[in-house]
Order: sequence, then C-alpha cells, then structure tokens
Amino acid sequence: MALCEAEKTFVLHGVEENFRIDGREREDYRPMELETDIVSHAFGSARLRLANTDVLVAVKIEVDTPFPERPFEGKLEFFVDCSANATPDFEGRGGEGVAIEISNTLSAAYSSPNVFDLKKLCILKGKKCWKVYVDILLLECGGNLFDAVSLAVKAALWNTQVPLVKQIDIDGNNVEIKVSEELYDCRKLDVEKAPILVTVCKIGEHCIVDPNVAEEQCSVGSVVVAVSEDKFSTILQTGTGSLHMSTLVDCLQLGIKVAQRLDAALWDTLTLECYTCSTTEDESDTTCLDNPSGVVGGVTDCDKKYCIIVRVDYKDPRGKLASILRSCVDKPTYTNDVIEDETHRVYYRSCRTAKCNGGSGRSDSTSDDNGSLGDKSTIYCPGIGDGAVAVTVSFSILLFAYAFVRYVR
Amino acid sequence: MSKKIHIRLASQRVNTSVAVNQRYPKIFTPGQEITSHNEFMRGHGTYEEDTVLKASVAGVREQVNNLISVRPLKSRYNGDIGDVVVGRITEVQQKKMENSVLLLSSVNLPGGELRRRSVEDEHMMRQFLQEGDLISAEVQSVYSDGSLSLHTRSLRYGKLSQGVLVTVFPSLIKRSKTHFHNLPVGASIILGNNGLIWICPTINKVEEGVGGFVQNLEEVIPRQERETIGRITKLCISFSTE
Repeated sequence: MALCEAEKTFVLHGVEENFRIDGREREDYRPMELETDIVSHAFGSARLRLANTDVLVAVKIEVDTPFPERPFEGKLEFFVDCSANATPDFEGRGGEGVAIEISNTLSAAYSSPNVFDLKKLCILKGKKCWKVYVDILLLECGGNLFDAVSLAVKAALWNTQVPLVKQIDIDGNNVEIKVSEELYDCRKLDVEKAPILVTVCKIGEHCIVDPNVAEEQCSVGSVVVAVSEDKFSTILQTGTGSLHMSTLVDCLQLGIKVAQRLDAALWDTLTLECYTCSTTEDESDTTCLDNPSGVVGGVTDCDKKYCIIVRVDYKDPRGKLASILRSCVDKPTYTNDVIEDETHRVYYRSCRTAKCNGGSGRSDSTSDDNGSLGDKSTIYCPGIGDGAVAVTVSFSILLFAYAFVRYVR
Repeated sequence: MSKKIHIRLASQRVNTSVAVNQRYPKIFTPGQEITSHNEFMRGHGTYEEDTVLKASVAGVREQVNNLISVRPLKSRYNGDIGDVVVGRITEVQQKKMENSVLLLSSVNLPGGELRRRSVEDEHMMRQFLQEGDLISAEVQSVYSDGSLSLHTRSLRYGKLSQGVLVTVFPSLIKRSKTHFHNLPVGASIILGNNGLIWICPTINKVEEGVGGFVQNLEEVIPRQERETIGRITKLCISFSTE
C-alpha cells in the first residue's frame, strides 16, 4: 500500500501534535488481546491480537542430542510462517524476507544465557536435551509485527509445559527416556527475563512506538530493541534512512522505557491476582470473610486460571458460616454451583478476573461476565488505546452513533 | 505522562454488539440444504444436487414467490453505474485503479481547462495524478467482465487531500442518494460504495472548484478537527466490526 503525499502529511502533523490518526499519543499502544493455551496438541500456545495484527504462536518440544560444543544446553529454534492471508505481499515467497528477519532477531534476542537459560532444557549431559520449536504464524499484518510476535512468543513459552522425566535408562551408548504419564506432571519454563521487542519508529522529528501500517509507510527508519529487564539483548535497525547519534540514543531510551511497561502489562495479564485466605467458624478473626483485601499477604499472583471461593454454611442455624476458602485453581470442581447435603450447604464460585473472589460467596456476583458489557461506561473501539479517544457512552453520542448507523447502512 | 499499557485476555472480551437481544436471521453455509421441495426455483447463490436445493455461498435466504436465492453476507464489490467509489491509483499508464479504469477523457481539470487527446496531455496527467493518490469517482459504465470505468467529471469528485481512509466490507455501505456528507460535528465523510470510507476535515466550498487537484500540504489540521476525525474513524471501525 502506497500512501499519497497528503495522507503522509496528515500522519506527520499528527505525530508532531502528539495526537496520531487513531487518537493515540506517541508512546501509546493499540489495544491488545491475548489468548493462551488455544492449540490443544501443542505444548504451549498463545495468540496475540494487536489491533489488526494477529499472531499465533505454538511451542513444540522434542528430545534431541545437544550440540557437542555445548553439552549442557538444550536447543531453542524459531520459525516464522507468513500466511498469504495476512497481506497480499506475502503471496508466494513474498513473506520469506520478513520471516527470516523476525526469526533471526528472535534467535539473537534469546541467545544470551541471562535472558533464557538453555541449561534448564538439558536432560543428560551430552546425550539428551529438550529441543524447543517455537512456530510463529502471522495471520494478519496491521503493522508492528516485531512487538506483537515477541509478546506472543513470551506468552506461549510461559504457557509451555515441559514433561517431567521419570526415568533414564542407559545401556552403553543407548539412552532411553521415560516421561511421566500423568498429564499434569509438568514443569513450566522460566521466562521471566525473556526479551520483549519494541519497534521505535522515527517520523518527522519524533519517535513513536507501535506504528500502524500507514505510520510505517511514513517512517524514515526504525530501531527494534529487544529488552530483557533493564538490559538490551539485541538491537536491529530497519528501514532505509539513517539515524543521527542523538536520535538513536533517544530511540533506545524510549524503547527500554516502553519495553518495561509492556513487560509489566504482559505479566499482569498472564498471572491472575486472587485473594487467598481462609477462615472457619472457630476463628475469631473474620477479616477473610468480610474484607479479604485487609488480610496481610492475602493477595497472590497465581499462574492458575480461576479464582475460587468455597463457602460452607450450616443449614441449621440457617446461613451460619462453617468455613470459607478463597484460592486459585486451574480446574475448579464446580465452576458455579451450590451443593447441599443434610447438614451443610456448600457454595462453589469461580471467576477469571483479577481479585474477583472477594465476595461473600453466597451470591453469584463472582461469575464470569463474559456476555455482558463489562465496564459499562466505555465502548472499546478497535484501534483505540485505553482512554485515548475512548468513546464515552453518553446519551448524545449514542444519538449521534445511531444517526451514523443510518448513514452507513 | 504516558498511560499504562493494558493487555486484555480473550476471556475478558467485551461484547460490543449493540443488538443484544435482537434475533438474527438464519445463515446458510455453502453446501447446506435449503429445501428439498422441488416446487422452488433456483436463484443466485444456490445449486441443485439430487433434487435438493443447496446454498453455494454463505449468506441469508431470500425468497420471491417461488424463487429462492441466497444473498452472501460478504462479497467482493460489484459495481453499478452511478456508484460513488473511493480508490487508490495503482498505475498511471492506462489510468488503472484496482480493477477499474479512469479514462483520460473523463477527467475534469482545474479551471475548466480544455483538453485534447494527445501525448502531451498524457504527460500532463502525471502532474495531477500519481501512483498512490486517493481519488473519489463515479462509476460511468460497467464492462462485461465486471471491471468498471470511472469518471471524475463533476467537481464533487477528484483527488482527496488530508484525511483518514477506513476500509469496511462493501456490503455494509448502502446505496443512497448522497454519499458525500458534511457532518455537523465538523468533518466530512465520503462513503464509497466499494467499502472505502474517507474522513477528512470539512471541505471548504471555495476550494472545491479545483476538484482537489491543487493541494496545500503546508496546512496543519487543528487539534480539534483531528479529534473529531479520530472519533468518527473509531465509530466507522466499530460499526463495521460489530
């Protein structure tokens, strides 16, 4: 897609004004949506949608022989596949250049032992190790591929379950490995320091992050930085233009700042904050029941999927609390149910949003509100940053909106 | 100060659909049986197999007396004479745009300049239209293979200046009397029948006389108009993905 001069001018002036064409500021990201564990036959998977950019990542693990020069290390390999549906440019072999560029950048970013420890993938020195294949599929291109891919890769690796090795039989040079047959007998990979890639784009005199397709067209050059914690693990310059020394330093500083914010955001999303405490009728301290946020250390970053409440009440006297448990689990016994026996009534509640298990447990208030309008004051528009030009549903806007529907339909 | 970045989980997705309790018509998928009665006639988007009428496209069923047809939900834009389209110039050789042709002879030049078909004239055109330029035009005629011939004869049409282009499904744009709107909120919008929507600051009546061939690229759109354009862009996108 080629832009005409007038459109480029519009984008350029917008960046100068710190109000980009979709209402974002220079350091804002478009809305992102993450889904993990969606490919059932993969060891770990994630799908990230960044406005119009859509990336699917699946992780496969195999047993392999380590490189002779690195007997203690496992292997990590990235492969990028560009679907021709993503953009017409990818048709035939068109996407190969982009694919190689992304996979090479990722390999470089993950190569340092401070970033991702390959030694943890070793099974038996010099003989057996795990080889991790990270397959990346670009489903749609809406600009800013590097950032989206790196986030999705990190999420997929976080989601990856490495089977536990139960037994190693060595018979001369023959090594046989037996993995645990239990489905949940796995360990997770340590990806806390895995790098985040941030594309810093120079448009006019300013640097922006998360460029969309139009902005990428207007940019004279961009820098991709891979940041792990507060260190760069790799830097790549793309585009045709060259950058001045001071601009480059500005870009790098912006990149590291944004990468840390992005990493924190990803971590927030991947882990689920739940109240974790319990109390019984015998205990005089009822903070866990009445005010779970008041419990010291009562909030935990779980890497489970659900926050739960299990509340046991007596039937006689009616409604008297026997015990309450707030916790997090991967698979709740009952997602939302009330089970009764002769003497007790047990309320099971589960939910999937942060700190959502703070209720009394009796009412269904903790349930998933998937269908309803979550935050009722805001319509989330695709392509809008959080609150950038959030369209507040006031009566007048709705009226305008409906008037507009009539135009469109 | 920059805002906190937020990544939403797919499980927390908000249903933005305005029509919450509205009933949707049944959607047929290709190959799905519509009816096995043989008194019906085969219309567009259907085929017959073993005396059973089946859908050949994904869409909703429409029935006129005995004629059953399936109207596809999404389809490629099929032009009609009189349609307003917005498009990008991909080639300035034969004045081709996407699959449509804007003929040399059907362009009005600024100031009502008279034109002759000549080689110089063709060279002149490059000054006005280049690859990548956006234009609005009207469909003049439809060729038998479905490609379109466009014209920008009226002063309403022509090259587009600063603004935002939004792409939606062509089926969402209803053919109406006027596709050019000056919205009271302070922006103009062109709803192209081919699914391309152009949103720009309010077009000044005085400048309109040149058909957009003279552009002032120095002009900076004020912040307020930018915000309006941004909002309308978002609305268009959210309505189209609803």
